[in-house]
Amino acid sequence: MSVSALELAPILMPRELGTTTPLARGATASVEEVADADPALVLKRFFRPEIVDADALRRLVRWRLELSELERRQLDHLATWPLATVEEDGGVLGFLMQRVAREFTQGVRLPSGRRRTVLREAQYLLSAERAVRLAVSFPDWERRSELIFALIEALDFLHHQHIVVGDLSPRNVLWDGDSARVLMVDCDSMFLGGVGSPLPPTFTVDWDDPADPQGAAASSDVYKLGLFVLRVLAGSFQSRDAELAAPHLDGTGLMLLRASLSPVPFARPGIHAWERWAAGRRAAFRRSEPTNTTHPEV
Amino acid sequence: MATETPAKAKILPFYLLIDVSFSMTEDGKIEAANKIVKELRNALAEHPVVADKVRFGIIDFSEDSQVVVPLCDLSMFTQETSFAPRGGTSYVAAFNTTRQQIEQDVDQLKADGFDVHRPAVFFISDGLPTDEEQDWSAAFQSLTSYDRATKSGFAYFPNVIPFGIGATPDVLRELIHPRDRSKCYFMKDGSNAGEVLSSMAQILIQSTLMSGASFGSGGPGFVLPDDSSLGENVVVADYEDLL
Repeated sequence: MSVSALELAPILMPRELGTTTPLARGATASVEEVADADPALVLKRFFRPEIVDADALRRLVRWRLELSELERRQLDHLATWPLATVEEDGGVLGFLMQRVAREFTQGVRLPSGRRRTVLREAQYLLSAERAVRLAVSFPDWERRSELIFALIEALDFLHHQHIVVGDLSPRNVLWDGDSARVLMVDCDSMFLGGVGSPLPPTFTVDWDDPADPQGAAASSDVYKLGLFVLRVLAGSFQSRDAELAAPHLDGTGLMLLRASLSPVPFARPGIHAWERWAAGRRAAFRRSEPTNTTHPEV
Repeated sequence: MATETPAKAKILPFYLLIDVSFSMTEDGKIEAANKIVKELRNALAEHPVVADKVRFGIIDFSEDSQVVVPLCDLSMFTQETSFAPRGGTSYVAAFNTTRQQIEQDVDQLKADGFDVHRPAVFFISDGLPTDEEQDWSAAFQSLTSYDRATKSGFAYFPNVIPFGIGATPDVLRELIHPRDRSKCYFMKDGSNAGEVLSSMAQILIQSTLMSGASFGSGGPGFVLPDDSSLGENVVVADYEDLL
């Protein structure tokens, strides 16, 4: 019997999944296709299950099931959340999650000339020059702004639900320019209700909060969102200078960015302030109002 | 409202130090070595965030040692590179050139305003050194020794990860640095050397990508892939394992 995405038990045994075929390998886990499950699902199998906090992972699964149907749909729209743990002899081997949809992937041309399909990570939004070298499209200013609005919306939802992302970095956010959607991945590194994440936290270099480089708090997520806004708009891998984004933001946006990049956590705005700004800018975009900012392409 | 002073960009320098003695022409080893550079360039180009943080230099060695690719963003390096086999296997030449190059590169990166993390050296050899043991051992000490108290030795000493295809484990063991954090990789008996080198290239690429994404928080500066992800023709060992 096939494991269905719609009626998924919170805990599954490996034998219920049938054979699995590796699709990709990461630093801590492999992602595998599952023979006896809905093709929309994949298994994330940990290399070292002993370092995983099984209770924290089970908590993430249970929390999702306790959401209202609308909230659960919202969550599944913006994140590859753990849907069910896969367990054997009381230990967690991995978990099932939704397969990343094709629109969040892209074909790149490597320096050797070989073509490869990769996840469309936000790291491809940081340099037009590198995008050209990889022969991938680089969204214009307006589309990059819409992707930023989508990330703000996602973060607003998560913070409202007391989820802290922790390692908010361009490797953990996927995007689709056509639908202006983002998809957050590596959700097993997120923190629910101030409790530890299932996987030991990792922090991407140059995407750290100087006030708390090893910590995970909502104010740290806002700092990293500030880095994201700055670097995606200004085309930079490492800048922390809010003024670089001045030509690309309106007055309120620039004020929010400066405050978000404050070294003092309590001086940073909450995500709601960003969400209000994004909603206003998005409405302005839809009305096709001319903006009072200039936006030179990077 | 005050914003943070822009931090210095962090850079993690890597060096590939590769044996090009005549024996590398056997079993497809030199072809596999040439492929490493192509695969590394592909992997870095595919990961722009890592490519921005990592700089790669390539040095070969035989009876002498030469800089094949100066330290650079390898993903942007467009020149074709290929290794030319020569005679001899001088570890002394290899370590001396590497020390000299690291010193020059780190000084330059610092002068350019970068925050430079400790370099890492991937050392690949298919044979035993043709130098006297005391000579190559002294050259390795000169590359890797530093006394913080007296500030004597080489302050930019690198982490060293040795890979051996034919080099014996007791020699490779001496090149693990630091002994408590690094490891060495060698060929499983009966394997094809060219294929082993391809497996080792994957280890090296994974290590580069993982290190480039996570260095900078007081960690060792390099990350080695999980042992379970190694090819079946490669054996991994730490210093204690080989005593």
